[in-house]
Amino acid sequence: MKIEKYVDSIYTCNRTRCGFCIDDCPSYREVRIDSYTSRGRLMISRGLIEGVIKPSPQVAKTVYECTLCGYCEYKCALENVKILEALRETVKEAGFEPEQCKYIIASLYSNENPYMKLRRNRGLWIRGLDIRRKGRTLYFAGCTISYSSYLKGNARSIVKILQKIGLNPAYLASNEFCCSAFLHMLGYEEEFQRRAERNYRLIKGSKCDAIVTSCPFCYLTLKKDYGEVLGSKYDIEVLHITQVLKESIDSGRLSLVEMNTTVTYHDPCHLGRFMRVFEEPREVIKAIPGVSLVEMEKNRFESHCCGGGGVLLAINPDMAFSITSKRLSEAIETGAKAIVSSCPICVEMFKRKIKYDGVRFKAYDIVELIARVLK
Amino acid sequence: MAVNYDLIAKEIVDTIGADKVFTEIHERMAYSRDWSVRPFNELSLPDIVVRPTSTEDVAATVRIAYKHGVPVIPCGGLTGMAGGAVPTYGGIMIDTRGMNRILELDIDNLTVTVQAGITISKLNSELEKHGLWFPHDPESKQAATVGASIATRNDSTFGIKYGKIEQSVIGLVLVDGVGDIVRLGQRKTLISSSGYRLHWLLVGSEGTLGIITEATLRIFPKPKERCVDMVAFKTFADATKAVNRIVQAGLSIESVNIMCSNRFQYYTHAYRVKYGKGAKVPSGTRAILCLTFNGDSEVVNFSRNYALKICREMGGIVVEEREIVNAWWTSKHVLKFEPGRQKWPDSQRIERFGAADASIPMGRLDEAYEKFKELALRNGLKILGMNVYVQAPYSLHTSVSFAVYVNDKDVDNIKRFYNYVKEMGLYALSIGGSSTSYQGDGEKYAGVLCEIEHKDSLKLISSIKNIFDPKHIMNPGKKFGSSKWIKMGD
Repeated sequence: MKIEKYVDSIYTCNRTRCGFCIDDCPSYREVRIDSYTSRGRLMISRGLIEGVIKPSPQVAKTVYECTLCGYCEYKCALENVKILEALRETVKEAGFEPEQCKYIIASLYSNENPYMKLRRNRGLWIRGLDIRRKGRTLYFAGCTISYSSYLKGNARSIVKILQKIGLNPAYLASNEFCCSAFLHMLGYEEEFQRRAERNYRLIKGSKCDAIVTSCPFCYLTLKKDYGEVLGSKYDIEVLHITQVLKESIDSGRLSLVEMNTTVTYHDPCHLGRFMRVFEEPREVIKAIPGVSLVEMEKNRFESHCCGGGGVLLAINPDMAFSITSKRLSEAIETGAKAIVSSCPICVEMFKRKIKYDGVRFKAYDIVELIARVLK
Repeated sequence: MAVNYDLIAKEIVDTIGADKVFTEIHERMAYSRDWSVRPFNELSLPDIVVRPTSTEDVAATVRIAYKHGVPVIPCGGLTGMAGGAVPTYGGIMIDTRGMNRILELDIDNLTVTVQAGITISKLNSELEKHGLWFPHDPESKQAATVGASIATRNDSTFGIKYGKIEQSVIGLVLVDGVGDIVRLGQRKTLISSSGYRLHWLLVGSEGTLGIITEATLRIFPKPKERCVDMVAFKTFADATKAVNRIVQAGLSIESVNIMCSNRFQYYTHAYRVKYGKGAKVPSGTRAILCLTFNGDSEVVNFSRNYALKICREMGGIVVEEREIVNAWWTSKHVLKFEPGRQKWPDSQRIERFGAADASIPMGRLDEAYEKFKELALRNGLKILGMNVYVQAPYSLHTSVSFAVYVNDKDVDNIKRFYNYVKEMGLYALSIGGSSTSYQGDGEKYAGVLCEIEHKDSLKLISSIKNIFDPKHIMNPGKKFGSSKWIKMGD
C-alpha cells in the first residue's frame, strides 16, 4: 500500500490531534465533519493500513473531495499533501478510483490534456503570431489556458508581453504536452516519473534553457517535481510569468499606462503556499499607475483555495463552486472592483461563478490586466 | 438486548435529515480519539456520528438516545487531553461544530451570543472586525470550540486578568439528558443574585449533564498594545513573590506563566527551528516567569518598566534576547510557526506529550517541582517540563502542567504514565490542591479521584447528575465510575 511509506507521519498525526488543519480547510468548511480534514484523512489512512477500513466508493468520495490546496501542510509539520496523494493512489489501486478521474487520465494519455480536447487544437491561439518552435526561452502555455473559453486571448497576450520585453519566446504548439500534474494528484506516481523523463526530452528538443509559464500547476510541476524526478541533470530554469513581469517592470523594460481601479489579489495555492511566490504578483499590480491593491483577510500563506484544485471540480462541482463562492465573497467584502489572480484555473473558477451568479464583480488574470495597460 | 444502531441511525435521519448523520466506519474513525495518552493503535469508535446545526437537532437526537438508553458523547475540537470526548462505550457522537454561527453581537452591552461549536479563533477573527475581543485563550484555540472550552474548563493564557471561562459565561442553552432545551443564567449581565448559578454548574461538566448548544459571553474592546517579557528566577517561590509584589503594586498584568528550564526548551521550538540550537537562560535558573501587559502604549510601557524593576529587585534576570521571548509567545499565543514546522506534530514524531494537570497552592510550587521529578523518575518517565498557568483574576491560583514524554507504542509506558498522573493528583490533594486543573476528570480519572477529592459532597454530585441525566446516557465513563487506567490500591 502506497500510504505505508508515510506510516510514521500518519501515527504522529494520530497521536497529536492538534486540529490546526481544520478550521480553514476548504472541504471541511463545506461538510463540517472530521473525516473531511487532513487529520481525518490521515485517520482513514491509518484505518486502511490497519485493515479496519476497507476501500469503498464512500471512502473514495471522502478522499477525493479535497482540493489538495496545501493549507493543512502549511499549518502542520508533516508531508500532508504527499500523504493525501498517496491515499488517493491506495484507493485507486484497490479499484475505487472515481470514474471522473479515469476520464481525466484517459484524456491526458490520448489527448495530452485532461480536458478531453483535441491535441491538434492546442496551439490554435497562435494564429497570426510570429513565433518559433525553438529558442532559448520557451513559453509553456499549459492545458488550461490553451483550451479554456474563459481565458481566450490570455496566451496571445503573454506572448506579446514577452516579445515586448525582448524575450521572443519559442512555443511547442500542438507538440506542447501536459505537464502531468494531474498524474501526481490522482496517484499515478510511476507514470508521472516516466512522463517527467519524456517531457524533459521534449523540452530539450526546443533548445531552451528557460521556461516561462503563467500556470502555477505547470510552474510547480516543471520546476519542483521534475527536478525531484530527474535530479541534477534537470538544467532548465523555470519562471512564473509574474516573476518575469516584476523583473521587466523593475528594469524599465515594461512601461504601463494608468488604470483607475481597486483590486484584490488571490494567491493561487500552487504559486503561493507551495512555491512561495507571494510578492511578485502584488508588486506587478501595484506598479500599474492608478491601481489600488487591497488585501483579503486571508492572504499569502493563509489564502483560501478557489475550489479548483485537486480535480474537485470533476468530482463534485457543487462543492467546488461553493468554495469558489466563499472566496469571491471574501474578495467582494474588501470593497475591490475585481479579483486578480495569477492562475488560469483560479481565474476560470471565479469567472464561471461570477457569470453563473450574475454578480457585478470582475475576475482577471494578472496577464489580462497587464495587457490592458501595456504602453 | 443488543442495541440496533442501524435502526437508531434511521430514526435520527428521519428526524433531522440524512446530511447530518454519519455511520460509515471511515467517518466514525475520525472521532475515535482525542489528544489524551492512549495506545497508538487504540480505537474507541462511536456507533453513529451526528453533526447538528441547531439546538433543536441536538434535542431531537438526545430524545432518541434517551428512548433507547444509548450513550451520547458531545465533542468540539477533539483536542482534550483527558479523553473527555472519547466514546468510551460507543454510542452517538454529537459533533457540535456544525453549530458555528454568531447569533447576536451586542456592541452596546459588550456581549456575544454564539452557537457552541464555533472555535475560539473564529469567534475572535469575527470580533476583531469590530475592534472587540473574547480573551479566553487556550493554546488549542484554533480547534477548541466555545462549548467544549466551557465543558472542559480549559486553561486561558490571560487567566490572571480575565479569569477562567466562567468569568465570561453570562448564559447558556443546554440540552439535558432527557432532550429538553433549558436556558440557564442571564441574557445580558454577569451579575445576578437570583436563584442558583446553574450555568456555572455546566463549567467543567464535560458533557455529563447535557450538551451546551449556545453561549452568551462577555467581550471586551480589544486593547491596542501588548508587551511580552521573560524573567529568569532561581526558584518558583522567587517568581511567585515577584508576581504578588507586582499585583500589590497595583499593576494590571495580562498574563503570567512560570515554566521550568526544561519546559522552556519545549516552548521555544520556533527559536530552535530558526537558529538550529536551543534557547539559553542564565545558569542556576529554575523558574522562568513570562509576563504580558496590554492596553494603551503609555500604560503598557509604564507597567512593563515598573514590573521589570520589581523583578530585578527580587533577584530576577530579564531575558534580553527578543527572539527567545518571541519564540515563546509564538508557542503560547500567536501560533504562527514557520510554514510546515508547527510545534506539536514536529515535537511528537517519536514520543508524545503527556501531562499531569494538578492545581498546586502557590506557596508549594518548588516542592511540587521536586515531587514531579521524583514521581516521573520513579515511574521511569522522561521529564518534558513544568508550566504554571495563573488562572484567577489578580491572584496566583495555579493550574500546572507537569509534562513528560510518553511512548504510546509501549503499553507498559502508558501504564506507568497513568500511575504517575494518579500519584501527582493524590499529591496535589494531600497539600490542598486539586487533582485536575485544565483537562478535567475525563476518561483518564473517570470517577476515581473525583470520589476522593469530593468525598464529602459525593451524594450531592450524584443527585445533580440524576436530575440532569436520569438515565446516565450523557458521556458515560467520564467523571463517574471506574477508570481504565487509574485504579486505587495499585
